Amino acid sequence: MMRFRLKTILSAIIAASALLAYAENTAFSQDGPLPQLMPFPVNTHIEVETPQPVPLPPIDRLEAMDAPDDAGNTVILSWPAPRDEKQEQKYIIEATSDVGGPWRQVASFSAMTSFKADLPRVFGWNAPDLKTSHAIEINLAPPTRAFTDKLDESNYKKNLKLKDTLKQIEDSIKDMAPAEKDAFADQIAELRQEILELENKAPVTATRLEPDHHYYFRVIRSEGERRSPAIGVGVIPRGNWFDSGKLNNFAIALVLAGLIIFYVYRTRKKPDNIFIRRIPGLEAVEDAIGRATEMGKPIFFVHGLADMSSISTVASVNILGKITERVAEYGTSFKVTNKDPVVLAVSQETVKEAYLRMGRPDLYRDDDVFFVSQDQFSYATGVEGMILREKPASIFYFGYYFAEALLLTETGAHMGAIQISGTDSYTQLPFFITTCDYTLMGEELYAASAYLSRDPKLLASLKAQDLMKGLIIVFIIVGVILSTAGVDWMTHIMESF
Amino acid sequence: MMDAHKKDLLLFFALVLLLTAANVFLFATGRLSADWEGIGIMFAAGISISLYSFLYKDNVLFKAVEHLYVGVAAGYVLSVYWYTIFFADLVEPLIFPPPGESPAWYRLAPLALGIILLLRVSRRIGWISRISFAFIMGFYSGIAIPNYIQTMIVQQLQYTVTPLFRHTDTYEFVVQTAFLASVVLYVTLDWLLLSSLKRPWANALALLPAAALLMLGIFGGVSGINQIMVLLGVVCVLVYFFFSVEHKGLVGSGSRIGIYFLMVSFGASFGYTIMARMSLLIERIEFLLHDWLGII
Repeated sequence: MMRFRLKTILSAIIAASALLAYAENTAFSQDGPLPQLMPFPVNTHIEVETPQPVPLPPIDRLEAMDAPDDAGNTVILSWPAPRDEKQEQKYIIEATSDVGGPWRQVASFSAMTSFKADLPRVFGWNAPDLKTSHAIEINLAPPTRAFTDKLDESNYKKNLKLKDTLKQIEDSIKDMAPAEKDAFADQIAELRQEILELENKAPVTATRLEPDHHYYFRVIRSEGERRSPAIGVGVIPRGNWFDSGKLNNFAIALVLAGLIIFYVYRTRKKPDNIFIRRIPGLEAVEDAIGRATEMGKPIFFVHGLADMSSISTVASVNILGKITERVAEYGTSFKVTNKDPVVLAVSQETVKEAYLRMGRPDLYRDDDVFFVSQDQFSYATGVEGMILREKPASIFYFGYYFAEALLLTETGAHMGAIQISGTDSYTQLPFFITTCDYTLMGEELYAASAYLSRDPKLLASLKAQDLMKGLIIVFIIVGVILSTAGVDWMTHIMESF
Repeated sequence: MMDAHKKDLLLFFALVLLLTAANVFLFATGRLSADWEGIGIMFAAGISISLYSFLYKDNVLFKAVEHLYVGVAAGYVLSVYWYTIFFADLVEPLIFPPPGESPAWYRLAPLALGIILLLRVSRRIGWISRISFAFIMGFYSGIAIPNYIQTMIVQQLQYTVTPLFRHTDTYEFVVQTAFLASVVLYVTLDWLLLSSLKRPWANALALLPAAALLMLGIFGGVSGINQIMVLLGVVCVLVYFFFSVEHKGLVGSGSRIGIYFLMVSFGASFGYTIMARMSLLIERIEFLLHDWLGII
């Protein structure tokens, strides 16, 4: 019995060895160079046919889907990562708007990268194949300015129109008798010719994705000269009205707006119920204006570089109004420098209204709220020159600043002016802190208009913001505790897309 | 004794003479080529030196260059606006639409708003310009508020709400926990004792264990300590920006730590920016010594 088993095992080993040797020999003869059994005679000319590289196996189960929450210019391709994938391989993605081509490369990426896990918004956080399936977002939005690419854009749009017309004709004659169809043959041939000519003239086929048009994609694996057969799939990108990825943003805006409305309502009932802590920089505003009045020198208000889309500019315009009211009380000379024409116009209006509110419209002069330059350093040089020559007693810097901050404040400090600044530009805050007498940091700038005016509505808004900050702190602490314990849903709901 | 005005005038002429002599010498010896490039370098060097003359005091050369700078920038910005906005977004789509397309008539709406904006020069009908201002303010607020929430709240929360302890290494866990405990200890001490004592040395002493453990974490390669620092920083800086609560007790302690975080970050930012400014100065000096004078 024992001998029989041993014999069987030995036979199996011999048979397996023979099979392995055969397999290895076959593989060797396919992939590797032929063994050189004997040297070629010198000066013998031999024609050797270059061996064609063995193609890579194609990818499997390619899927294309319209990207959610977009304008209809994005599609997502996904497929399981092949088992024989290597780091030196890459994937080439080609696209066309016509199934017959021409195909154009629209993306490529290295193997072992770009997985479904990189697109949690589409594939979630818990799918089993997040790290084993590739996914890539193909975003081919058309150029926003026809000016840059006019001819190309125009041909492209014309091409799309022709294709739509062709499709309509083909659909309408689908059920017709062959004789009737022939009547359209010339028209169809003409359209096809025109499409082809346009594609040759402006080769933009499928280099852009337009919503509601059919596109085809194919994926090719490559490793050096080896390539796999292409695997293709079709998809129609669709535009969406809502971006669900921004729901967290919307929810925060709703909560904040709700809190503000609630506190405004409450403050109306009990106006003296809101406490605001002391902000030294704002308490010094009065002193700064008083000092300039006593010295008989002007006051400068220097706007930052940002336009009206910046919250700091909106806040600084509010502060400008409040400062102007105080200036109007004393009748001091007041100048406002501007870098942006829209900010200039808004500032002129604000200053004019503030003077009017204080019953001193005679003090307002259009020339006191003026434009300097729209170029950053020209603005800085211009304002510096004015500070040097007019020697203001007090200077206010409010808004968003860049590299010119130190140039301006250093000059002001050199001239001995009392300087109060306020910005949410955290890169420039250190310069303001070191060169100005008082600095409002970040949110203190936003709080300033409420602080100066004591307007119940603004105070209520400040209170609501504080409560929101409190909620954020609670959210962070609870979120960190849960996340440390391995519960990630709080992290995911605040994912920013 | 020479009065200050005469001294300045003398210095001014000396500088102008020196610049002229230097340029004549450079052109004569062929160090500066007698073409547009050479002339450009000469002007750039003259403008740079004129601007640096401000370091002495405000003078006529600086004033001249200042006005030149502002004027050139105005002309440049006008041409940029013409080609990239006025022509590209208004004239072209309206008057020269792409072949086969009708003019983009809807662009007349922003044109009308722009014209209304200019009406403010009139005292009688200037009020109409407020329509445009209302549009601009509303439009910009609509853009700014969601962006602000996205960058300042959502992204901040996303990167803060992450696990505190990333590693299973016992050493790292012990260092992180000890650091967290030392911070809690500091806040408690500050809250209960230090704020009433207001002694800087007592404050520093209470901070010592936390600082020591932080150093141990940083130099001992405990990467997870960063997460604790981020959490502490965000929470305490937020506490500092509470306006409707008096900064006393626990809130006062938190806001004081928040200020420490702010000052450390400002210091780092200051150093970083100064280094960037130094590189700009080096570039300018290199231009003067290499491109202009050819000394180095």
